[in-house]
Amino acid sequence: MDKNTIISKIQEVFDLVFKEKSIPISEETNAKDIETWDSFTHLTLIQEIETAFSIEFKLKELMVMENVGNMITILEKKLNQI
Amino acid sequence: MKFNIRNAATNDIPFLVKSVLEAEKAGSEIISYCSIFNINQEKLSNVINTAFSEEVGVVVWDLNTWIVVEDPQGNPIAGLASWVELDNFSSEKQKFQYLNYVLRPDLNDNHFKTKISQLQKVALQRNAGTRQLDFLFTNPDFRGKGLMKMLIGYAIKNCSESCLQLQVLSSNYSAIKLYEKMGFVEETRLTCIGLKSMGLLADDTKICMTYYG
Repeated sequence: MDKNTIISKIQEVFDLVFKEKSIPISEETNAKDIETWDSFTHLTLIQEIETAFSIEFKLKELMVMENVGNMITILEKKLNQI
Repeated sequence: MKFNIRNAATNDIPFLVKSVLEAEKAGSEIISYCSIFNINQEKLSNVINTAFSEEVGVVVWDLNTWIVVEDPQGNPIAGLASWVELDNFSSEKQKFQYLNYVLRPDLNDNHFKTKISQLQKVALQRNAGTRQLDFLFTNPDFRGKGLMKMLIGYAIKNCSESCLQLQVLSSNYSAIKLYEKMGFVEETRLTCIGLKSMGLLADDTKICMTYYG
């Protein structure tokens, strides 16, 4: 899966989780950019991304997932391994 | 009796876990994490112990974050966590991410959602770049000896950030009195009526206190 497809799939998940509060994402997008990106929404977001890409994150991957850029890098790595 | 301050070490982990639990209880029997994730204290202790011993990357439950006071035999008798809040991955989010990974709650469960949304009403902001103190605890056998004053004084002296912040329940009068004595001032407070009666938190009101150097 190429980077652009990954980004557009992540965007779909963001639109689903944040609904009308969602914003067009970039690699720099982080919790500061979306007011409702709190601890609980973060958990939902991760769960929806796992479902959308049919993968499961490892703990060490989750603990560094602080912005969309990190998500993309980790997803690219994981999806290329499959 | 001579007391020393030192960085926490692997042997201190059981004491650090106890500190987390007791600080969360703040004199009550309520521990938010147990209520939210529907687990008992023993399970929570194991999960936090793992965070410390396996260095999973949760800053508040990392050995390097903690300082302790030891008795003349080297045993930890008071402790606190002290860290600089990150810019875009809050310590709270890290903690929840870890607990969620280990405990796997059903995120769609309405009880779980309700508890989380109630607690978020008193989720005080930890400002990025500031030094945060949390889980301040003194073994009851050694209270009244100024050990927490020693630890907070040490944290203040070694703080190179613009300010130090901590959070405290409004019913924890003795702690608030000590923090005020040390120079902390109330910054903000958040209340959610019903948190205590629902068994989610030991008090309905949480206060953020700040020390400006």
